[in-house]
Amino acid sequence: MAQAVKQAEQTAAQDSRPVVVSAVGLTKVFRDFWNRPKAKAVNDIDFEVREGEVVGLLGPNGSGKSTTVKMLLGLLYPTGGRLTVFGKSPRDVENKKLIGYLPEETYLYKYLTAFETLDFFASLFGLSKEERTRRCDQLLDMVGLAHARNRPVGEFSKGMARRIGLAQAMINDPAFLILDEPTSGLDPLGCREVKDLIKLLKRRGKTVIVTSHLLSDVEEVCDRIIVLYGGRIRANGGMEELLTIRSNETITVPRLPEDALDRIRAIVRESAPDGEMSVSHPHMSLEDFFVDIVNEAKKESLETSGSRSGGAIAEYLAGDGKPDAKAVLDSLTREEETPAMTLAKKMEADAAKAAEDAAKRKQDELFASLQKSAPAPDEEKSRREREAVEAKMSEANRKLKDLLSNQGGKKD
Amino acid sequence: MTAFLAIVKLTCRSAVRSHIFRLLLILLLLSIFLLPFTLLGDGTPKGEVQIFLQYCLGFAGFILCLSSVWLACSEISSDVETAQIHMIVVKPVHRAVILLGKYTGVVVIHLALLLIAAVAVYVFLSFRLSSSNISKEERQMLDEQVLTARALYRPVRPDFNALAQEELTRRIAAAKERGQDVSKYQDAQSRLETFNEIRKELIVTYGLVEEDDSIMWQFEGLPKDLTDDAAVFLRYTIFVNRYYVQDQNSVRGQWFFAANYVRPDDAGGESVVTDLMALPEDDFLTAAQNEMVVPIRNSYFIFDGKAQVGFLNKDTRTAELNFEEGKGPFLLIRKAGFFSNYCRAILTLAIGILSITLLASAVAACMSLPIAVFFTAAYMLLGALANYVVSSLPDIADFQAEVTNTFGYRYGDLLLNLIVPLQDFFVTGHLANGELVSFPFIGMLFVKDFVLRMLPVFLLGAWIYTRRELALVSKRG
Amino acid sequence: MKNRYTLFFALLAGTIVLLFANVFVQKRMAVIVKEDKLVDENFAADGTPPIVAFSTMALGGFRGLIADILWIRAGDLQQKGQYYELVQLSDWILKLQPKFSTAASHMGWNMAYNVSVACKRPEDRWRWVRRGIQLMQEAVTMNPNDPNVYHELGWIYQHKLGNVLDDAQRYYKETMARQLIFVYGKHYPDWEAWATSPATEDELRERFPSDHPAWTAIMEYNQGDLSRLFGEFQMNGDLPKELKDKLTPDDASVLDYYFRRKWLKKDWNVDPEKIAAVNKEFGELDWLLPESYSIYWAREGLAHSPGREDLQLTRLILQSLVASFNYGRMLLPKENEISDFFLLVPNTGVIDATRRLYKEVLKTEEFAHAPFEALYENFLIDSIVTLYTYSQKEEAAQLFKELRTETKNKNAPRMTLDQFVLNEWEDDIKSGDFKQIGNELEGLLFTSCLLIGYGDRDAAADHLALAARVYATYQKEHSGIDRVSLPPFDEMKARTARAIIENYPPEIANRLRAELEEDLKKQEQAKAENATSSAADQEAARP
Repeated sequence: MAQAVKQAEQTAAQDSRPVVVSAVGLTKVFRDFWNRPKAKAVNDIDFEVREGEVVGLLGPNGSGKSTTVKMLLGLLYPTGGRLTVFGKSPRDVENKKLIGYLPEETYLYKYLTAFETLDFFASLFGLSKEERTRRCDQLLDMVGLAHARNRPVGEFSKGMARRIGLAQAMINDPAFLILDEPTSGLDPLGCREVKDLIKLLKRRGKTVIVTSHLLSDVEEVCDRIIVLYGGRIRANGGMEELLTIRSNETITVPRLPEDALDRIRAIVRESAPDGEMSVSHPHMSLEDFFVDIVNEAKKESLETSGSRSGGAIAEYLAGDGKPDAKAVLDSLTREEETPAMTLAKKMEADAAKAAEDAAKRKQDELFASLQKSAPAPDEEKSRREREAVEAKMSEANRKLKDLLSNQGGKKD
Repeated sequence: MTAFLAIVKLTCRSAVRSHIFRLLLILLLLSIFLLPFTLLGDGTPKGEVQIFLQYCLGFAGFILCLSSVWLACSEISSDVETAQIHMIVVKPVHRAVILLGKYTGVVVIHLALLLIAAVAVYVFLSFRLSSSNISKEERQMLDEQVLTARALYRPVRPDFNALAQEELTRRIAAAKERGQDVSKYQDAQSRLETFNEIRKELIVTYGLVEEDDSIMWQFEGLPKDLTDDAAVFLRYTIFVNRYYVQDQNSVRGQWFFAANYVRPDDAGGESVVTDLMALPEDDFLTAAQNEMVVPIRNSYFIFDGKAQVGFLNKDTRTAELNFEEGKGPFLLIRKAGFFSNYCRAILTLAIGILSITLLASAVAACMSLPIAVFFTAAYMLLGALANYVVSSLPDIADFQAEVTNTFGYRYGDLLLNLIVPLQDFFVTGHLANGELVSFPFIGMLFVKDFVLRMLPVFLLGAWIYTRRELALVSKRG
Repeated sequence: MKNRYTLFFALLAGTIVLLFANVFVQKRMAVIVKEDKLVDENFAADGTPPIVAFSTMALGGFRGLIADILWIRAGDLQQKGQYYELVQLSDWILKLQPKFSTAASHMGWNMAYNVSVACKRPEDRWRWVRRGIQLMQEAVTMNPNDPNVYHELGWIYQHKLGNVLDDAQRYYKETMARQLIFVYGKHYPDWEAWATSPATEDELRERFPSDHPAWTAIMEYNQGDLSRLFGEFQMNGDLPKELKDKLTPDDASVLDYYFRRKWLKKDWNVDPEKIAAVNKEFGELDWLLPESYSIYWAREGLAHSPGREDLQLTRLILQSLVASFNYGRMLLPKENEISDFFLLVPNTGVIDATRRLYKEVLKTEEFAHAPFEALYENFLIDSIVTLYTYSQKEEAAQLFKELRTETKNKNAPRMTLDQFVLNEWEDDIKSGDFKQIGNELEGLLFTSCLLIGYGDRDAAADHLALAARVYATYQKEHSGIDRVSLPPFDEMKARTARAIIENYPPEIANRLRAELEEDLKKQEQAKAENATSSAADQEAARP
């Protein structure tokens, strides 16, 4: 472990990106009424956050995470050491234009509607009215609260309030985001969206600091983690380096017959006589499973009065700024379109649609015939029959899709 | 600027939702619309108008002050205590701007309410006056003495120090002449004591007039270009044997006025001749505030901004008459109309509200809600107390008195120099007496109280607010 | 959201309506409370007004503080001579501290005595005295068992309004009489009839149920709106003619008395039953005069504060009775119409009661000392002389007997009644000089002529007789001694009569002229004869 840490630090030293946050010997001592030191919340920590990084700040309760975050925002002042954000003091007012903050508990004005809340925070940035309206609308869409636009925030559930908080954190399209427990209070769908958002922000080159107890969330999105305990940094480095257990290897293969496995076991025993080999099925994460179920339910149009998953990422967040590398590459490798190709494409699309319609019609007919022919609703029997039909249908669909994709050509 | 306006708007909305604000608003409405029907005047239309102006506006102003203190403290303190402020402070808004925005929000609401209250009171008054039947002379008295704005001119107070010094010198010389022992005057300490004694006596006997004796008052600083048809009033209160209210009755005397005539003199130029014009002897009621019109033409009476008025005591029954210091006589000259005076009074009240809110904001920026409210309330109470102590012990200013009285007076005086007494802004008494609330007065009030005393406190509060570690205060540390 | 607000406003409107309705219900409840005696007598008889209840409960301990601040303010303003706030401040202080009777007494006295004299016009003075009285009346309502407030109230009536200390005292008496006679309807109302008339609306409805012709008439007139009818009554001093014509005389008088007693209670807070009781106890008083009200309140005080210190109240009654005796009857030029030419003459009807009270008081240990006995003796002497002058010789004789037997008077035992009375007059005559006697004679003649003018011929005759005797005695004593002698009696009388005729209102003048026509004619004749005879003498005397 220690080796991993050292390696991580070395890597960090070689990083050439500009520094967003720099803490040197940062200390915070809380004093009581008589100015006697009461607790040393942060004890002489050094760390750096560079541009474009997503850093996870981890640690048990009382380890100084929140204190560090508050110091970054100028809500607390360090008692020792030096802390700079974008090269200036955390209390610099101009800097705040580049910072977005999602606090652990969202404090909102209960009587303002969702739109008014965002509008208020937007106006604190000095944005014009049209700009504010535009951004607020887009943000509300993004976090899935467009339907609750004119409801007072006091009526919101915790998850909805959290989403508003997230929205206001991004209203100024900040270069540096500090998210304190961003996924707390959100259902797994929401968590997924937040994580997607963080990933998008990373792609756009934003710097993010995430504090969380939910380690799985952090694991997915962060580049680097800083682990605090008792006010000191215990680990600071990239995810890869820290978490990789170099002493072992994981190989993912499709399902193999028993003898193949035995042969592999033999090879392993040869190469690494001391090592043990274990075979098991990989697990999908519970989150993925949950998300799939819910998405299916959505397809059957079950209403929920809570928040729904949002639509596309807000335009101004997604559209503005530097185009990401991937898109550039895409555009470069894309073929020039000729009119013939356009026509061909159109024909393809039409054909695909026709095929889908046909498949659907066939499905319906099959269902109808099944229902007609079935005299008595024998539950178990009908269920099995339905399953069989569905299986057949999905099989048919897949075959059709393959057919079309083969015909199509350039598709992802 | 957008941020500032947004905070102002938010504060207004938040304020309106406060329960205590709503309660105070109801009280305000009651005091404007219900109170006039319960007020008992002294039976005359003049008294009723006076009491209406005094109490309705006074109550309304007072309630607005309370309300603005409460709201300012509530808005500013509770944001910090509930950590709501964290969401705002991390935006690019300077903390001073936040504080100013909240202050402005509170002030805007209360000034609007003040305006509404003022309009309501004025309309109500006009309606009452036009609908009730008042006799012609009552109406005239009302117009002359209440529904007007007259500037008050006090007589020139003699320099008691100089007079005492003169008297002391005279006594020393007289003693020397008679060959008496002057050792007691040699020592500085005993000379000072004698000086104080003489001074005390001079002040006490200043307003006393014995039988067949007369007293003259000088007035200076009067307007020089007064037309003859502008009425000049003399307001006076005569007491018998000091100021005990009992045993007062009517006394006989005679007023006289100095008239200045410009006459051609022997040398071919002009000179000024001063003559005394006396009114016939008459009976005057004592212990009552009386007003009379100065009977000579203004062009003769006021010369070069100066005038003289005298009184001759022709009463045979009482020992001596007393024109107590501070109770007249005064000259009253109409300077403006009632509406103008009313607006000025409202303006003064507005400045008062601005001041007290400034203090409340400053205090709330540093302290928690209950402490901030308590601090401001204590400040207001101290101001009232200091004012009362100083005004009820006027003699102390001039001579030695009992230790506790002196201490009380000095303490009160000190407080008055440091604290802004809220009573300064409640000029409804002036309004009810038809006295002018002059612009220099308002300006002086503004500079002395608002700029010199409240503004530094506010700046201090804003500075503390800027430098506070806001996260330390919230319940979740 | 709209639903939420409409509900809120509906509730708010409902609350306000209920609040106002409560005020009316409160009044009705107060009446019920009083009638059914639901509240301890010690508390205000007709229920504490809501504002007082509110202030005493809601303000709690701050009541005293606020009352103090208001008190200081009142004092300050008074020092400055600004009185216009005083009524309101006194009212508030009383409402904040209703049981603080000394403060209330002080404030009432202050307004009636100190503030009133600071006004020049008698109307203003009257207003302030009246305010003092009203404040004391309210204090009495709040402190029904405290003798101090009754005393203060009675004192203001007797000492301020009744006595002659204030320059405006005649104005006070005139104004009070004017206001009261409007309520009474006439100078001497039938108090017994008032007492038996309905006191409340319920009693009136009992007397006039819905099928009663009187009630039908009222319904016809204004749909039974008694309060509006009451307002009209107060404006005109009588029932509207329309209505009166439709009622029988009995019914009209019942309704009339109902309104009048309600009016009297409202403005002056007195009950006709109690007035009748006072009349019975002390003699027929003239209820246009303040002394009578003073006796009323002192008696009320005695009735409501048994066992408490009531010496001052008894003393007050005694003083008022003596004052009533001396000036307790108002003579008007035209009966039932007040003018400023009213005359105050002795009320001999109270003598018995006064004597009785004096005797009672003298029995108690504290009063049995010389000054009070002397006062009683003087009172008896005054009574005897007055009764004699007003031709009530039998009563005078009775009192004379008492004077002889029960007091230490020296003259009474050795003189007859006639001698005694004359002696009292003669004491002044013997020691007096020409000017004094002339003045006294003129006074007697003036009173005699004036009494003729006011229609009291018996009293006039008595005064004239006394004047004649004084004149005769004087002539006997002083004839030949003084260089100047009195003019002839008839001439003095004629001169006085002429002065009255010229200066007094026509009602008085005409009566006097009619009576004295004969005498005047004789006078002219005599004068003419004198002139001719002296001329003739002169002629004769010429050589």
